[in-house]
Amino acid sequence: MSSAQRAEGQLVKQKPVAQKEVATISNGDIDLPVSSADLKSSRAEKLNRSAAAQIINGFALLGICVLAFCIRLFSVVKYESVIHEFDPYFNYRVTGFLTREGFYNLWNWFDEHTWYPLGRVIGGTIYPGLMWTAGVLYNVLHLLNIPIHVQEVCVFLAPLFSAFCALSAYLFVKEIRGQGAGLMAAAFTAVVPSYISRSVAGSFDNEGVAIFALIFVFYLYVKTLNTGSLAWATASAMAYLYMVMSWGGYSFIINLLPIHCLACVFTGRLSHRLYVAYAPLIVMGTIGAAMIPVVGFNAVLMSEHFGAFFAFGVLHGALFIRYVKSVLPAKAYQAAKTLVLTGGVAIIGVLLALITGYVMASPTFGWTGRSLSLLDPTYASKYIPIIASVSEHQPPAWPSYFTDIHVLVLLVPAGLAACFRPLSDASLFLILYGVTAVYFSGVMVRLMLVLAPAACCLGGVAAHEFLLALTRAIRAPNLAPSPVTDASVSLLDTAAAPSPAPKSKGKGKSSAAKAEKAKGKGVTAESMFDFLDTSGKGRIPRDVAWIGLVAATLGLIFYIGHCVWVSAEMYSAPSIVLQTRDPQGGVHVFDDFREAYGWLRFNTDPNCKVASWWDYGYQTTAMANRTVLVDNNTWNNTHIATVGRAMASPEKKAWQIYRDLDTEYVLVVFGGFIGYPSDDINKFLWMVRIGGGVFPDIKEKDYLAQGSYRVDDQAPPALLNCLMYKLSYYRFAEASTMVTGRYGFDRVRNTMIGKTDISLQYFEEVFTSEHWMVRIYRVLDRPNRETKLKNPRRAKPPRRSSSSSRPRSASGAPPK
Amino acid sequence: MRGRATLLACALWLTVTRVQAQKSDVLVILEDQQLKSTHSIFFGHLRQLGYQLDYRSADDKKLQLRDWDSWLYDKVICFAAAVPEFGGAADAQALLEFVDSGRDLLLATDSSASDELRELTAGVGVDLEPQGRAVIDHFSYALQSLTVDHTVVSGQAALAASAVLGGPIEAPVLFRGIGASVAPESELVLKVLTAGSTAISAVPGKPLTEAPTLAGNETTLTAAIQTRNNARVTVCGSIDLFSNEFFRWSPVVVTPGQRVGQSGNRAFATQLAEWTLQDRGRLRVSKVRHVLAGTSETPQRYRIRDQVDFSVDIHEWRKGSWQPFKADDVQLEFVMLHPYLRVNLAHNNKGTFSTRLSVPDVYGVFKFVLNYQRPGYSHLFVSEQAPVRPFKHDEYERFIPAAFPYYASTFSMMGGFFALTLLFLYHKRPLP
Repeated sequence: MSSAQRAEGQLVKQKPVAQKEVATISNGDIDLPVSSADLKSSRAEKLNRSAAAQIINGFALLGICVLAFCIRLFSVVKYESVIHEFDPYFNYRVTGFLTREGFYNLWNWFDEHTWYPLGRVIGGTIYPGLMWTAGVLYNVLHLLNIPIHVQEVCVFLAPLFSAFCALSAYLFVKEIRGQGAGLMAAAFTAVVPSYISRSVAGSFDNEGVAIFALIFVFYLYVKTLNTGSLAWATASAMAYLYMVMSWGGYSFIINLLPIHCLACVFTGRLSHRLYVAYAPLIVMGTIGAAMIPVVGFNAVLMSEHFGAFFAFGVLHGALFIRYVKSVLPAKAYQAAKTLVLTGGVAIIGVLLALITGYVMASPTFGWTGRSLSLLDPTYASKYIPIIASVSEHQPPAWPSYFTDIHVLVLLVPAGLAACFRPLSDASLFLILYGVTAVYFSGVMVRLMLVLAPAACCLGGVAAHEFLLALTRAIRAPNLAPSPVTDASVSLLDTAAAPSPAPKSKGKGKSSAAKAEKAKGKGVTAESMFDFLDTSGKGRIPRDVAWIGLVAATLGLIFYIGHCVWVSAEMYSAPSIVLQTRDPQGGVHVFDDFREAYGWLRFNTDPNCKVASWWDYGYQTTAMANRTVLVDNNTWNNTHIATVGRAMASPEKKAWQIYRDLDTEYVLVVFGGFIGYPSDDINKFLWMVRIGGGVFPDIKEKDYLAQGSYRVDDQAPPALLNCLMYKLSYYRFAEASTMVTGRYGFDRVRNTMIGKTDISLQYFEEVFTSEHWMVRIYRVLDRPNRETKLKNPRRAKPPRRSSSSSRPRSASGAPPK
Repeated sequence: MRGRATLLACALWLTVTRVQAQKSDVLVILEDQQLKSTHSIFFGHLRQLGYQLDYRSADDKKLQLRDWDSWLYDKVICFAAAVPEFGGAADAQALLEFVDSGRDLLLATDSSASDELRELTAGVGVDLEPQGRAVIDHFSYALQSLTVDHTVVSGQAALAASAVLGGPIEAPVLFRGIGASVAPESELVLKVLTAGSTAISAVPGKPLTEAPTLAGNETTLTAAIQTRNNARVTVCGSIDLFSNEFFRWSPVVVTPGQRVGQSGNRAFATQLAEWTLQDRGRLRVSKVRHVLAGTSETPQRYRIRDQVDFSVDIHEWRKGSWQPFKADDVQLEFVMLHPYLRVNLAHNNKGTFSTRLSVPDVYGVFKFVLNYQRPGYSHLFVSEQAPVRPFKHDEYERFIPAAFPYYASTFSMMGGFFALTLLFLYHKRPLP
């Protein structure tokens, strides 16, 4: 027991009952405060059942883990063991560096292959948790003489951690509502489509381990909350450190915990356990976070973290008031209260003024742009086009809720309601988690990922309660409910899960009365489905219960079916290799990206610089091993704007920009030939917006025809003459007749292009992939000689044939 | 960038080997075989310099510049005007490719220049006037015996061109032929000889009814071009400028009443030819090296605030051998997007230019850039990539004096906490 707890014990005059409950809870994981009289009568039988339940429970968890792992292997089965998308390629490259060069060299890695010529300090700008995890796994495997390639470790890391995530969801919900709900939550988590989308095999992204870390931190926090043990608090601080290391989303935790803390303080749930759970986590977590280079002093300087410190202060204030109240007589307490209130208000006023001054001095009020765009959903589209340009930063469409969490949409509200009855510190936490996650998922489709585990946990609670009530109704009707059945059911029941909150003096009596009442009525009395209570008059008939049970089972089966389908069909495409099915059922594979990167790797100078839109930066450095100007780590807006400006400029100006940046090759992605919609022409308006945000000579309206973006002959001249248009459609018109039979028909925009005779003066086509998806151009050197310069005194253009009948220009004609 | 520097080195090496083979073949394309005798002084001078001249007629059917991929000549002198087309495989395009391969061309023509030649000169940025026009000066012209020909004008050697000509030429340079104009924004064309301020470009013998488009100093008579790959081309609007007659023209009477001794044509023509054929003003750069100061190793990347020794050898081709180049205006830049440092290189009279510079407090991918462009000299361009990294985590100072109060605060707090804990745990409060 910590000193804090001791102090707490002295301060708070707890009821003996409450203390006893605390003691039983810290004994083990599944002990339930069932009244001892019931237990004694059937102890032997219960032990047997309990053991059997534990074994079944273990096998169920094992099955859930295997399922979580296997459902994510569709991508490997359908395609191959390959890294997906964009960011994972960078993570893979960094992991490769880590395994080759070691920990310290990664920390100090200055990478001159990206962001030419600025370079990037990789060690100080990444969240290294994912790479370290993969690196450790790789080294352990090699220590065991399992000679696995680092790419395989990277590919299978995310499925492995989703199994761990399912386990931590089990532990988390078990802490709140017991094993049954935990199992349901684990099963939901294992297959929830939203999480699958980020953790299929090959998707080697931060989120793959971070969601596990998130749930694990929550579990440890709730565990500490329930036990009040400093050991668990330390563990949760360590888990928080891992989370900070892994993902920028740690700021969700550091804001959710204070909200919970404040909610507990202001609803009279202040306890020593809350203190032990919260205060050490904030202190150690902040110190730990500051040691991660990418966070550093942000851990105490950015507004994201201020909420935590505020709650920290409030918690101490509340405890101090309670202490003062306990030592002073009532009268003196009142006097002290007024004194402290006046003084406190003054001090707080000064502090607030200081903090406000500090915050207001920053243009974003001390928040990072990304966080601000969460609080104000319109912020990014107004001020930061680079954040708004990413599709996963858009608000989600309604159907995506159904696609991503399916039946949980229905279960979440029920779960929220279930958490209120009875409300414990832990279930309050789950409620807050669910509510905030719903909000954030509404702002950004990417944060659906944060909602998914919350939905699974809430859904697990709800489904558990529902099924429990139904099965009880089915089993009960023949006889009056015997105490044995009741107790056995309660083994898996969660309503009795530890929720003893030491109440303040005033509320002590009522809570005691409540506890008495609950004891008499049985553990299910406070369940949400009270109205289904088997002993009450409103009990459901057996057949209705059967129907309900079948319906619920069907719903769950549909959920599993949906998840498998989504995993197989929607979320397994690696996006670096594309597949289509032709009407005959054959599969056609488009491997243009790797073809193009391979070309660059083997046909260009190793030191050459390749310009492309930032989406393809990570892939170019990882697969082609060439230097790029900008990449998916969008830390320098100006540099990206420069590339956007070049793409939006006429050929000569663009050539000048690229020459200044020593660029030798320009890579564009073009989908008009085969109908690949996410190509550079469709991304072009973002290039204009981002470029125009920094360079005012690029104006979006110049590229729009009466407010609409079109590439046909109605397109404005600025668009028809810009580099991106030329590079995309160069030689396209002739080629398009081979595919569509129509001269210059773009299959993505479904239109005839506006300019078919495109000639290039400063660029030279060097490579076009099989399906024209990737086109690479060389930036030509300055011409060796000066030809065709503007010369006002030039008499006439030189002609090849002197027999031309063209009349001589007036200035050249001899006077008659 | 390193690739480019290598290329440059290769080009230079080729140049060196080519010169050491000593004065290889020069193709002389003549419109008329008579020019051999009327211009014998000029050609004699070239032979004295050691060149082997291969005279060919402009319409020679066997005229050939290259045999598959290998060039047959290293230099071409072309005295032609009215030929509508060159014979054999040579044409304007072939001659431009010849120049693009780094070889040199001396071209002289006159008022009757054909379209073929016009295309050739336009290809190097010199626009000849239309066929039939000549440079006329009614106020300042050369007289010989009693014939009055206002088309023999005296040109002024531009002061900027003294590097090309090996020094200023005071005597008037006589010129009879066609003028040319050069684009104002041209970077590569150097006007060596321009007409006087009273000259115009018009058809001789015809009355002039409207203002001439090209007149005065704008009229370029001779232009020297050094292309970006250091090939040299000279375009002269007059074949007669190189003739024995103009060489010997004496005494020269420019504008009635003003007498000057000898014409400057001989000096001008021979100097111009020497420059064009790369006998003067040729530089080469070698042994580019940059090392951490005080060591002899070139690290993979420098660290901010490092001291770096940079040195480079520059030699000049003079009197048949490479001599150390001497100049005080060779500069080195340390560039990332824009130059962070620009320093003069000091030389040691042995051709080694060096400096010590300290890397700025900015990390990124820097380049050492030496870009030496002076009129009349070969362009030197060296670019070496040198990434600069920030400090490693263990390269910062471990203890800094300014932080001592914080250390004291930390340790005193640790001690205080320890003491308080002891007090709290082992101090028994007397029961009331």
